[in-house]
Amino acid sequence: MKENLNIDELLSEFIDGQLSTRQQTEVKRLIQNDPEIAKRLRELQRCKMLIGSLPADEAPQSVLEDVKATLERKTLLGQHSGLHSERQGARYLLARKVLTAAAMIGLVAVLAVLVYSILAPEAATENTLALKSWQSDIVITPKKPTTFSGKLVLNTNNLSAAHAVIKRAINDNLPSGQSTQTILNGAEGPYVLNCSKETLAALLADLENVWDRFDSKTLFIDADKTTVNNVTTRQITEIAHQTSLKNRVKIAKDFAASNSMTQQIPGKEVFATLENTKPQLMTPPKPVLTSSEKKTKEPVALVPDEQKIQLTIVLTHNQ
Amino acid sequence: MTQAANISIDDTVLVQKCRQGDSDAMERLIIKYQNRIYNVILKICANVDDAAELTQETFVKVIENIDKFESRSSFYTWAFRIAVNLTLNYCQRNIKLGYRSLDAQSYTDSDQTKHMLKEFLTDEDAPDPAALAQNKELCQLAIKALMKLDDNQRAIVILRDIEGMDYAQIAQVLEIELGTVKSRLSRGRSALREIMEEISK
Repeated sequence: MKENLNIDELLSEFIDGQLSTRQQTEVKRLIQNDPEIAKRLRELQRCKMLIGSLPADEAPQSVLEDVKATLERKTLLGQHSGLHSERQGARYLLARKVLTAAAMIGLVAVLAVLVYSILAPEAATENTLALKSWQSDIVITPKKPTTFSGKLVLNTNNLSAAHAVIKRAINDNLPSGQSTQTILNGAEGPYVLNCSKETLAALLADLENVWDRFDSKTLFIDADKTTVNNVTTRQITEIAHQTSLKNRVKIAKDFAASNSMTQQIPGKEVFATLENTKPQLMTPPKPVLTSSEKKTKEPVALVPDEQKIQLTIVLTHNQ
Repeated sequence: MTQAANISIDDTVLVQKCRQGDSDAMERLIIKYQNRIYNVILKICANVDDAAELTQETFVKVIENIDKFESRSSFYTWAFRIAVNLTLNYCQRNIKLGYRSLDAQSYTDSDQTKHMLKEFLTDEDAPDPAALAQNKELCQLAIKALMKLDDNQRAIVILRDIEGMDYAQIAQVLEIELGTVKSRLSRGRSALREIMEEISK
């Protein structure tokens, strides 16, 4: 069978004229000597002849028009170029992948926010408790109206006269019960004022006339952490009117810096005098009680918490 | 071969113009090859309607991909490669293609035709090819025999004995080695001879 196949291949090539001259001679010799091979060759030749003589069919007349119509349709639909379509397809797939990834990330983010919003309250409470250990003043203390609390230290050569001035200012401005004075070993101690900001402002206005007679005036606020040297009555009023501790500290530091610079520039006395005399010029003189009749005490007034201030006035003797 | 060479020279110009968007060149290429491609496709698939559709599809693919044609082979073999590939794929999709063929199915072999075929194959005198082409019954028998061949063998026999391609061109069209062309063609012809011998009994 294999031999027949080899002979058939040889004969097939012989029919097509693909053999070399030597091979052709060999095949011719085989044909002459073997009638079976000759018959096989003749049958193969006849098969080839029969197939080759089949009538050629002509393409339908519509092929050209159909091809053109198909190409036009594909062009209109944007499918003309195969290469172009492949590139577009690749870009489209890439864009789809990127958008899918973005959508996934977005979805995960939304889910994370949702989960966090559900679990956050407990976590926040834990965090607050943790903060309490090192921010006790801020976190533990319940929120309440921030009140001014400070200490004013006035230094003078004439302590008894200073006490008299302070007492008169307190009596003239503060309702009874809004001030206390401690007596230590028979000596007069500090004055503690619990009054409104307006009352404090009026008291300080009364003290403006004698303010320069004090050798030094120092205000301490924020648990004595912030100090304003050479403070003026107006500065105290302004500090006390601030609504938050942060603002009070900030403005106090500004006044402290300003006062320090004023102390260092030449002619400071003139500036200080001008500053202190201004209100006197602008403010009408306070009526003075001339009769011996004592001033009627105003009834005790309740001071709203949000306006309440506490000021401790300490008089010290200049050594 | 000389004819093919001449075709290639003309084709190069037409292909170049076609790439530049010359619709006349495109039409000339189609007109030039439509009958030959249609004839090969029809002989392989043996269905007139499908052959027309496959021919149309071939030329659409040719025009769409003409920019990819690299001129390493001739346009002629490149276009036929597309046509044969499309047709063989079509044949694979239609396993019962041979039985579906109108030409092969509608014809009933008569004893006279069988005798004629037997005489034709064994007659020592050389027959007249023109007379053969006139004998429709004999042609129908030949087509029937072709359709009984394996798809790949049928394609190679048709490319050689009907289209008249040389071995090198067949190798380019089918993208196979030259030795494969020789052996496959030989096996196809041997199988065809046996089929015809069987039919003629």
